[in-house]
Amino acid sequence: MAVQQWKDNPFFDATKEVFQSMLDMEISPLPENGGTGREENVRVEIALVGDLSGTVVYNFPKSTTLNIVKALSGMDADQLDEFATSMLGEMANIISGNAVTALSGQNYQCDIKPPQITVGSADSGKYCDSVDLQLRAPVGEMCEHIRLSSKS
Amino acid sequence: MWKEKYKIGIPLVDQQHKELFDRVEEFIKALRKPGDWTEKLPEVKKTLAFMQKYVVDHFAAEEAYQKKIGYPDLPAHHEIHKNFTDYVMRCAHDFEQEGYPEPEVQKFAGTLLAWLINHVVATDLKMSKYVKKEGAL
Repeated sequence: MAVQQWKDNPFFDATKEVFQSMLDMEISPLPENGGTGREENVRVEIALVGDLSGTVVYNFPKSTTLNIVKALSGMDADQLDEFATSMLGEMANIISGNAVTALSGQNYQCDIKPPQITVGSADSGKYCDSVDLQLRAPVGEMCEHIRLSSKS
Repeated sequence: MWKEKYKIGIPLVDQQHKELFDRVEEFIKALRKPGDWTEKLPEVKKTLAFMQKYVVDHFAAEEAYQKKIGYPDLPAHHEIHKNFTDYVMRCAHDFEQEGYPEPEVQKFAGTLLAWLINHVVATDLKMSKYVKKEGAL
């Protein structure tokens, strides 16, 4: 695996930076490794190609998603419609883009593909062979599953 | 929708950003208000066209300002503006061709707002830091 769990993980660092700049919010690791509960989830999958290839999956539970939509738009939202899910898709796209920029500083040249967004059941919390980040912010919890391999 | 925290400290740019957010807000309010999509459509089209024009005008004005102060990241900033303008124009064209399907217009609005906030608080902030460092205001 080309990235570490927390220290110097470009996806964790990019998530912190984007939550700080866009939402004025700090994020922190969740001590438990338990997924994002039983809620419906917005799942945003972003593929990487290049020196590192694979996927990064962002899971935003419904309550977290709606809180982010409210914080950014100032409007109440009560369902995971296209407006809400595309907003989270773009946030995941921005986080991934920033992480890829940081990776280029470590001599990994990568590109990202457009986000694939689905709404589904709760996140299982653990993917096979992935680095899993369980995160908490004032808007709620979220998970990132990073599964990347380097060209050999 | 506009927040004071989005100010980057360049009065001309801040004023235009507020105007841009106000137009995006009008567009989003038109498509998010309760009611039948067909009934909302005339206002959605009107506010979309209004916002679309301002995106082009604002990006041009911002780039003219960057040229005037000798901003070294102008080429990269121009590329970001161009890509986003192309995206907005392509969506507006597709909506017109396809009869403004509600899910697609809602999707566009969500992407637009998140992109715009990040662009102002991250990319445009870099310009502000340059201006402050160089005393170019």
